[in-house]
Amino acid sequence: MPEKTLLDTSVPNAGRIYDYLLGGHHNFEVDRRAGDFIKSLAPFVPKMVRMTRWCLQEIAHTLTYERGYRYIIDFASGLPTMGHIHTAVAPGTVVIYSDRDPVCVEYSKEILGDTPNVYYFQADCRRPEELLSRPEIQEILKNNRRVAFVYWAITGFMTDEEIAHVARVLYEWSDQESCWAVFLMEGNPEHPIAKRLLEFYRQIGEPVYYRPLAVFQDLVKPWRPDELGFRTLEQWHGLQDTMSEEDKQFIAAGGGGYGVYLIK
Amino acid sequence: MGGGAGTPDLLQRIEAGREGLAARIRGALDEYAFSNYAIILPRRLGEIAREEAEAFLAFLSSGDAEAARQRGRRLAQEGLGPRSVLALTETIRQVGWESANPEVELWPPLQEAIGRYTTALLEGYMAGREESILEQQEKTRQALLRALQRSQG
Repeated sequence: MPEKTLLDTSVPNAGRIYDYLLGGHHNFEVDRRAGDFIKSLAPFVPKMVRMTRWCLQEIAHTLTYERGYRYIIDFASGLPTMGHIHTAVAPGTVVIYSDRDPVCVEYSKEILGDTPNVYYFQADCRRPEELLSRPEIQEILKNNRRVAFVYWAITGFMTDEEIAHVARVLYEWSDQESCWAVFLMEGNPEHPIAKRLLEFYRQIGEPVYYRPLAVFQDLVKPWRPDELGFRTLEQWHGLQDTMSEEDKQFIAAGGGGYGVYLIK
Repeated sequence: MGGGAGTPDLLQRIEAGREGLAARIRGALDEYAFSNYAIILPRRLGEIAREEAEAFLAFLSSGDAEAARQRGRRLAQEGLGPRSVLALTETIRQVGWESANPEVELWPPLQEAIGRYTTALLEGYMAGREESILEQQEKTRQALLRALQRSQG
């Protein structure tokens, strides 16, 4: 989506809709109407986006305190409010956020202020090579390639080709001990409700893609899941029965998707 | 007792049940966990429940409505949703009633104190929520303006 469109507040924006569904107010009337439409079709969505967002704290802790990563690069970060990665990492960790939305980038820079070791760049998650090759990134990383990447709640907006491209770039760029935390959305695109949701996002210029877990696993090769494997959102949070039977007709059981730490 | 909530025996009874009060508040907050702003993690709800139980008990002793208002304001800024706050106040009311029961003559002063507390809490919450919303909206507007200026620059 061109930057000019991202700056057009007369059309809904997937990022601002997401903020509204999370309960935030960094959005405009057009985004709230869109969010209300989505909620009317799929009342489960506000739960799903919250469970997705809540994972970030565990991701931050696991990657830094347990696995010792000193550098985290997060793509399609959205707003770095309380609960985001940098608020839960081990001291001294460098967190690099990025997003393609220029409004999000401006607002985020203000939120972060002079927070040490946290950076925010405008970059498109579909082309990670553009961010990774920036001189500022090289300077921040000090040529370190042992990095943890995070693509959380964004692969649903990427085509198969884009996911495969990202997987390849991240794999080749990073060293053998790097890690990639990813969330993928799974559902039944043929269900009438799913069709309406997918059509809605297509109409606002931000198409959404459901894909089976097996397809996703193939797209991200040679990355492979770590010993925790692919976990549902309910498994991440120790919850049960968050979804109705109707929800499960068009969104994957267990919360709508899977989170995983991919390794080499 | 500064709060004027009732007899010392009743207040002691309520204070003795502080753990139970916190647990009941936690249950109420859990029911609406998905209605809060996503920045509140589920594990924080237990802490909020304990803090709220202590804050209410402190009010029964002190009658400090301003402290209750500030507490409400902080809950709003932290991201607690309206339904959570209403569930919290209803739980306090219910526990208060159960504490007075069956000595119903003890209920009116306690009810009045609970009313003062929850009113102050909600006043603070509503003011804090309005501040938070307006701040987020204004910052979003400013960020949009900067982004527009940068794109035209």
